Amino acid sequence: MLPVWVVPLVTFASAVLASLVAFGVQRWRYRTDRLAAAIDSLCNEINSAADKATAYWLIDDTAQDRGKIRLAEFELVGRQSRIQELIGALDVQDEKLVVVDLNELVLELLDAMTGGGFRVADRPLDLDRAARVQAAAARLNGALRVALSRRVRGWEWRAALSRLGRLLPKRSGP
Amino acid sequence: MTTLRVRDYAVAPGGRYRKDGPFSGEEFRDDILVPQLLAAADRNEDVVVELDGVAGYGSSFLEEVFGGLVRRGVMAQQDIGRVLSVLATGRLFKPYEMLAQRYMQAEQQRMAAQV
Repeated sequence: MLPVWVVPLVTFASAVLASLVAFGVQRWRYRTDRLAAAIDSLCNEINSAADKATAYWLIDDTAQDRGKIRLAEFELVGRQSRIQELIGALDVQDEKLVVVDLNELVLELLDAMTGGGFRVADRPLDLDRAARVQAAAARLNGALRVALSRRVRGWEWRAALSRLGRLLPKRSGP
Repeated sequence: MTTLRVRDYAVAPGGRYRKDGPFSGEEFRDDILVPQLLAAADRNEDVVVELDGVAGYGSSFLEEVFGGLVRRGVMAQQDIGRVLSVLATGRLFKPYEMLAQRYMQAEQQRMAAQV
């Protein structure tokens, strides 16, 4: 016959354990959701900037209203800064997120967006640069998405290993 | 050592050529950077160009300043590398530092391929 305190104790312990597991799962979900949302937001910014840049490079400056072109130029410089700030914020949010070739991809995008004949009066349209902007944005988007997938998979593995570690018997000293 | 802060000359750096408006890359290179660079080389000193603190760059500005510096041939290429450093301390401006160095290297390679 079990003592009377066993049943309430086991019930309480099970409830605590279930709460801890639920807390861990929720925390993991929160982190992955937040990171995914941040990367989504960054990718949207990159795409929007790339579209703006493509439209800019498809303008033949010799035949257009200079005021509209100036507006696009200031916007593009601002969007470059926004992308860099968002990348910086991402780095702070998750220091272990590894985006392969990030610097190279960002430089490629910046060069494609505002290099060449950017802010040059009477420049002709630049089809090559219009295409390069889209390609650079796609590569940066891809690298960010891959980094997110790797990071989430890393968390899943670490969580599984950690759970397994807790289940295994502890080693005693030699 | 001479430190040139771009923000001391232009809060919002402009385009590539002088004809494109104020604070162009050509203007910064010819009126500010080259004279300082030649004077510093005579004194056997270094010149550091600080990129921080402005309202963003168009890459064409940086290409005209740093790529153009190599292209114009105001100094031997190895002397430019020895005397001139480009620096950005803020996270926002680090990519521009890398772009400036990349433009100088690209222009050096392009000129070496022509020889």
